[in-house]
This record gives sequence, structure tokens and C-alpha cells, in this order.
Amino acid sequence: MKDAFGITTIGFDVAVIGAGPAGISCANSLADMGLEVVVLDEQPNPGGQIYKNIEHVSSACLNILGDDYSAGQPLIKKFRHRNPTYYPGASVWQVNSDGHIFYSKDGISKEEAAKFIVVATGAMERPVPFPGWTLPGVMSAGGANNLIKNGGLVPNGRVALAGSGPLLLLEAVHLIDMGVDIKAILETTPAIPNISSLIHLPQALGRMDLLKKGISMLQKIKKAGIPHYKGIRKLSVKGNDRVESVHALKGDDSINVDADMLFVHFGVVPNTSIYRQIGCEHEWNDIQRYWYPQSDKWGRTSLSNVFAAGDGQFVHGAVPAALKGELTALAIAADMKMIDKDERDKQAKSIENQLQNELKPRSFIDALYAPILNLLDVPKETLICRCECITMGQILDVIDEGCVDPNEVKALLRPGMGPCQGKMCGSIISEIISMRTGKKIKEVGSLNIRPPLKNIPLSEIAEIKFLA
Amino acid sequence: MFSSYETTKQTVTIILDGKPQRVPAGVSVAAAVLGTGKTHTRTSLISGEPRAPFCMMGVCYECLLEIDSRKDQQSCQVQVKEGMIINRQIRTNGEEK
Amino acid sequence: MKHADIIVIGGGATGAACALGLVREKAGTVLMLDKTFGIYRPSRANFGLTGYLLKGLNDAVYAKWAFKAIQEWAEFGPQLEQDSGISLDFALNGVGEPFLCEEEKAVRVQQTQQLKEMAEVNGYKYNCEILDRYEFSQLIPKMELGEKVIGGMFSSDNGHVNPLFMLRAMRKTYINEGGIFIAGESVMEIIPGQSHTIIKTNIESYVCSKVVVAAGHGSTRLLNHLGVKLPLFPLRGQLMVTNRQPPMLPIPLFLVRQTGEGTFMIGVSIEQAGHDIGTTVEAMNSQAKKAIELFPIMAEFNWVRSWGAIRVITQDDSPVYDTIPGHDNIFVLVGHSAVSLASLHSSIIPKWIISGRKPKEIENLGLRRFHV
Repeated sequence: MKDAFGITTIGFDVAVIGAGPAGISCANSLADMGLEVVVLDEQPNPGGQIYKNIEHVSSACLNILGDDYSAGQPLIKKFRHRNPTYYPGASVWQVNSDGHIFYSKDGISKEEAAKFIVVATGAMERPVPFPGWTLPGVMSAGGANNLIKNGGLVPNGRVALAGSGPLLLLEAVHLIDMGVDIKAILETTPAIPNISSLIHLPQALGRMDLLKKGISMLQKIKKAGIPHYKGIRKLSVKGNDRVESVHALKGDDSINVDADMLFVHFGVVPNTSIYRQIGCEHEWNDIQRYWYPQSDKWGRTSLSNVFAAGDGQFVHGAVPAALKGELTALAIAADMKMIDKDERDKQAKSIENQLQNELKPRSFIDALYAPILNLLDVPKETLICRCECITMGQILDVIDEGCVDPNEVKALLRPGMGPCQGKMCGSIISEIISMRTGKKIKEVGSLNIRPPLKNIPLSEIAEIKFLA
Repeated sequence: MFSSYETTKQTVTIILDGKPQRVPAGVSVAAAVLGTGKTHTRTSLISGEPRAPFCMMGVCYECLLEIDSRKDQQSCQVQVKEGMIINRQIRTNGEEK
Repeated sequence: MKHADIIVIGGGATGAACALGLVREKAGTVLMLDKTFGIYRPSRANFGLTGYLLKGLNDAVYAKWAFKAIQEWAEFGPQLEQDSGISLDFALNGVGEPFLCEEEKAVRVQQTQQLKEMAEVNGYKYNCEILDRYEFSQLIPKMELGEKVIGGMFSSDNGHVNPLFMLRAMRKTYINEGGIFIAGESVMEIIPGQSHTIIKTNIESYVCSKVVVAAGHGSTRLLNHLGVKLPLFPLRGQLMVTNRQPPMLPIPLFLVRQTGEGTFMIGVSIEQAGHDIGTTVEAMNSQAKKAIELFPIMAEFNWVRSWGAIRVITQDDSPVYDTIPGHDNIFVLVGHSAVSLASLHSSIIPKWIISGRKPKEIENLGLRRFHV
């Protein structure tokens, strides 16, 4: 059922998609204000990627993962106490702008509806191709981190780490603490910070505590005696059926590291799949080179009933994500007339102050770790689309044949048509077109995202349970 | 490639490639399979190359496994259960092994 | 201002086929302009059938033209593969359609009879057999038919191709043989002159002797300026595709086909939805049901992707080939089935454009039939 504005009048007041810091804090606040909330999350337990498995993790692992991880405990505790309707293990595969959501849980697909939708699907690690990145033994640093949180698993061979960004160094520190044999850290970030990052330094100095954390990570790596290279290029991995060695260039010198595993991390980017599929407008960030949904300070997207909260809205980290979730909750409560606008603004004030304080070092860090993709260095035979095995050379060929739209590259060559549906290669294809044609990413555009957002068996869609 | 950081208290038994394996309870199928010492979980249908879980957060679809007779399941998103039958998707010459 | 002998507006299946034919016929400098709006390209809605089955029910001229196109494909397809070096997943090994009830069967039996009679009058043989359940099942030995299937029809000389690989191959060959392809420019206006025509894009102006408008729905806007109203309307098709499966469906059916990659395409929906390329859960639900009804094993396949695309449909379903009134150097080629007709769009049509003499067999496929 829909009202005169085309907005649904059945189901919940709010559907929150994602149970990470933003989704949980938003749901907590909404429930506090008396709204009917449903939380849909793909994982079996609340916490998102950052606070994954926090309710069940062993105390030894909790120790290793430190304060930034255990900070999630009160949030999740409150969520359990508040006890809103919660569908764990629910994969959302289509969201319509009228508030109808389709999801798969325990092998059954169902429809749900809400007046407002909060998309809090967080961020993902930026996929960056290099020779050998599909070999077993190459894993994202976040993936390796998930294995600690979810499986209590620690690498038992020789490990190398490569890429850029604070999370790469954080993962190195965790692995050092667990006694892992780290052979080298290869950073694409230059040894001398780029000038553009320095203009943000004074503001960042306002949060010396966070900067000190970063410095102590670097000291720990140094103390462990791990070779730490900066400004590397031409990363590659060799091996027969799994990683055997890792290679790179630093200036003209080659770096060769014998290793069994390589953990890579090239920063994080908003996971925009759902925003794209619903039809939200997007903007491009030229420093961190990613798309993010257009939104106001409340997280309201170009669709008035769809909100973006957390790192999916813009990558700010876990603590800001939770704060942004609270702001979104206030805006929805005001729209629902649970509070008036003065009350909304009054309550928002202190959240915004905290957020501002948290974000002080962000511009500095974003500029310091601005991605260096060096796609020109990627050899023609390197796979870009892992699912369909489409190479750099094949993509360059169709571009040279006059294909300047990522969707057309996809249509004519099949990258992005495999199971992951372009989640891994989509952004890379746009970057390659931009590099090859000299067009700006904004003009090149991005892959169109369409349902289903998750693969589901045909039997499920044939037997879907629609709302009455 | 991976081993447990500490001895796990609770375990469940899964059948992996036809053999029973004890794995920690509550972990994802992908983590459980990696924990048994397997280096790859599938081979590419196109190139035949071995592939292993990459993102561990439901994005990359590299961890596809056959779980309880259903093929192409994202094993990093499924929790292990007692008695679960898991087969790695290893194919040669387009036929399944 | 840049010069060309012939400018083709539109780099889709129709434009690229024609442009390729023009360079093969050595028509001078040929320029193909394409706006490139990947997600709206009708080739995406194409099921990849190269067939004449059920075509031209209301129009004997079109029926014969479609039949001829498939005869020509036997040579056109392999030649294109050879010239481009791109495998097209092309074969003329038949196309079928299952019947799920007696009513469906009765309609097809009658239509087939009608098309056979039309063909006989026009001197060719419309090849289509009506089969019972057992005979139909023999065509697809590796897949068990659902219990509702009572039989089907089958034409052994229709075929299939990957329409998007075909598009790429035509463009690539066109470029290799000297054609110029300018992608990402949108034509704003066609300005006719005495001997030359000016084409204005959002970036550049071009001058040429002849213009071919093959811009699908975009043609309507371009020709409106020149006082021509094209009888086109959009029809949306929604398609869904599964994960890769081992080869099991050797011939494409109207409802499902297995592609060369092993994925299954499912597509039946036809609806009026303006230019909205979205998909609906309702359509996915009914298509999945139908596919499973036909082949129960498909219940286990994973649905990986869906998309909607807009077909270019004329009022009477037949294509339009003509010059516009008062300007015999401005040609228009629009209609659906651009994949099946590609063989003729790159042979007979370019010859007509070069010589200016319209072949008798397409005399009646012009604008005049709509009284515009």
C-alpha cells in the first residue's frame, strides 16, 4: 500500500540495512525515540566488519585487537537490550525507492517494507589489480583480520604485507602481536609525504592522541625489525598454485621477498551497491578516488526517504560512523514527528561537535594515503575481472575500439558479469577508461548496479513471499 | 596457511570433500576450510586456476563452495553447522571432480 | 569542419552493420558516430536469436526479408568471425519453442500454417515442425522437461549468436577496414543542404554527402527536426541470467537459452514502460516460475543478474528503410531484430545507400506505409 506520495504505508517505520556501528547506533536511537525499526544484516551476529563477532571472540583475541575493537561492546550490548526486530543472516538483494526491500534468509526470499530506509552497508577494501593477485595466499588485509575475529585463525607461514593506508599498518601490528613471521611491508605511499597532505596537518594536530597511535604503530613495526619499504611500484606475486614470492620496485632497485602469503590493503571505499541499485545520485571524491552517495548532514540522499549512514556515506571510520547513525536517526524522528525540529537540532549539536572532533585528522590521513594506482604499470596479461578472467589487455583493446563507457565495456567483453557483478572490477574499469582516454572519472561514469545484489537460486525468486 | 591462535573449546564436525573434519563452532565455512589447511577453495570455471577466499566479507565471490548440495555458496557468509557437507568446487576440463 | 563521404549516426547493431557494409563496398570515407549510452543500447535486450521464426505474420515482405537474412547469416557469421578474430558463439543449429498448454499450441500451429502458405506463394520454404512431447524432448536429451510441456515447435535452420560479441566484431572489422568510429559524441542536429549535409554534435560539426540515421529511438528526435514523424515506440524486455552451468541445452528456446559461456538467459517479458530500463521483482518471479516449469532442474541455478532494455518497435513490427521526403541523401534504418537482420544490413542496405537505387524486395518497407 502506498500513500499519495508513493511512500509505503505498511511495514515498519524504518528499515536499517547493515548492523555495523552506523546501523546499530541508528537503530538504537530510533528505538529510543519509539520508532518501529527492522534491522537486516547479512552476518550472523551484529557488529559489521569492524566489530565482527565481538560478542563471542576469545579474550586472547580481544586483547590483540585492542581498544578500537572492544569499543564496539557497549554499542552491541545496548542493541541487544533495546532488542529491535533484527534479521541476522539476511542478504538484501533489491531495494525499491518506494521502501520495499527484498531479501534472502535461510534459503527463503521475502519482501519487507518501511517508510524510511537507512543504508548502512559500510565500506569495502579498494580492489587494486597486480600480477598474481588471484593466486591463493593473496588475501585482503581486512580478510586476514576477519579470520582473527571470526575464526581465531592466524597465518602460520611467511607473510608479506603490501599497499597503503593506516589499516595496513594496524594489521601488521596485530600480526606482530600474534607472533607471525612478517618478511616485509611494502607501501605504495611515498617516504616523503605529499605536499597536499601537509596543509591538513595543523587541523590533525588537534587530535594528538590519534596521531600518536599512528606513530606508535610505526615504532612497533620498526622495533620488530621488519623490512619496511615505502614508495614501491610494480607489485607482483609469483607462484605456481599459490604464493611463493612477492616482488616490487623501489626506484630502480628490485625487492624480492620469499613468502607464503601476501596481505594487501589499498584503503577503503564506500560500498555503494545498494545506493546505486535504488537510484541515489553519487558524487566523486578526487583525493581518495571513490564514489559516494550525495547526502546532506543527516545522511539524507537524493531520495528523500533513503538515508546513508556510516562509512557507506563517506569513509570516516567506526566512531564517526556511529555518530552519523545517530544524526540520521534524529532526522527520521523529526520527519516522523516524534520530535520537533528544534529538538532535533538541539540534540544534533553535541553529536556534531563530537563528530567534528573525531574528523580532525581525517583530511590529513586521506591526503597522506591518497591512492596511487599506477594502472599504467599493470601488464596486459593481468586479470582485471577475477570472475570472468578478463585481462588488462582485453579491456584496453575494446577501449581502443571506441568503447568509452564502462557499461559498454562490460557488455562487449563480459567483465563485471560474473558472480560478484563487478563489485571487484567495476571501479578499476572506470579508472582504466579514464587513464586510456584522458577523460575524467566523472564523465566516464560507473557500472550500473542492478538486482539481484546477491546471487540467489531461481527457486527462491519463483517462491518469493510477497507482502500481502 | 592458517592455524588456530588458541585451542578452541567448542567444535563441530563437517564433511569436507568427503572427509570428516573437526572445526571450531561459530566460524564461517570459509574460515573453517582455510583452518583445515586447504590453500584453495575452488578453481576458476574459465581458466582452471586455483582460487581462494580474498575479501572474507561477501564482496569478491572467490570463496564459492558447494554447501549441503547447493553450489556456488558464498562460504565466508555462512556459519558452519554440525554435519554440514562441504565440497570444494574443483573442476578439470570443465567437468567436476 | 570535418569531412566525410558518408556519416552513419548510431553505432548499435543496425548502424555498425551498415557502416561495416559501406567500408567493405569501398564507399569512401565513412564516419560512424555513437552517443554511447551503454545501458540503453537495445542489443542488450536481444536474446541472441538469428531467426525468422514467427516473423512477418502481418507482412509477407518482411517475412521473406527475415528469411533471406538467415540464409545470408550462414556466410556472414563465419566471415565476420574470421575478419574480426572474435568468436561470436554463432551456430545455425535450430531454435525451438515449447508448448505448455493446448491453447499455446493451437495458436502456433495456426501461425505456422499461415507463414508456410505465405512462403509458398513467395517462392521459399518456411521451415518449422510441430513436435509432440517425446519428439521435443529428443532435441534436449540432457534436460528433463517439466510435466506441463506437451510438445513444441522447432525450426532447424534458425540459429543464435552472442549479440554483443557480434556488435563488437562488426565495429572492430569496420575500423580495421578503414572506417572511422567516433564514440561519446551526441548528434544534436542534421542540417540538410543542396549537395551536402551538416551534422552537428555536442562537440564538433561534420559535413558529408550522405547520412544514414540508424540511431534507434534517438532517430525520432533527429528526424522530427526535418518534419518526419517516425512510427516508433519503446517496448521493455526484462531479462535474467544465471551462473554458469555445464553445457546441457544445445538449442535456444524462445523462453530460455544457454549461452556459450554456460549461463542461462531467461526472457519473456514484454511491456510498455516508456524508457525505464528498470526491472521488477514481479517479472523476475514470473519468469523464474516459467523457466522452472519448463526445466525443473533450473530451480537450482543461481540468479546472478537481471536487466531491462528498450526495444525499438515500429507500429507494424516491420523495419523501416527509406530516404526522407525531399532529401534523397538522408537515409533512415530503424526497427527491431537488428541482430537477425545484420547480414542484410551490411550487404543489401549499403549497396542501396551507395547506388541510391532501392531494391524491389524492400520497396514496401518504407515510411510511406505509415502515411507520414
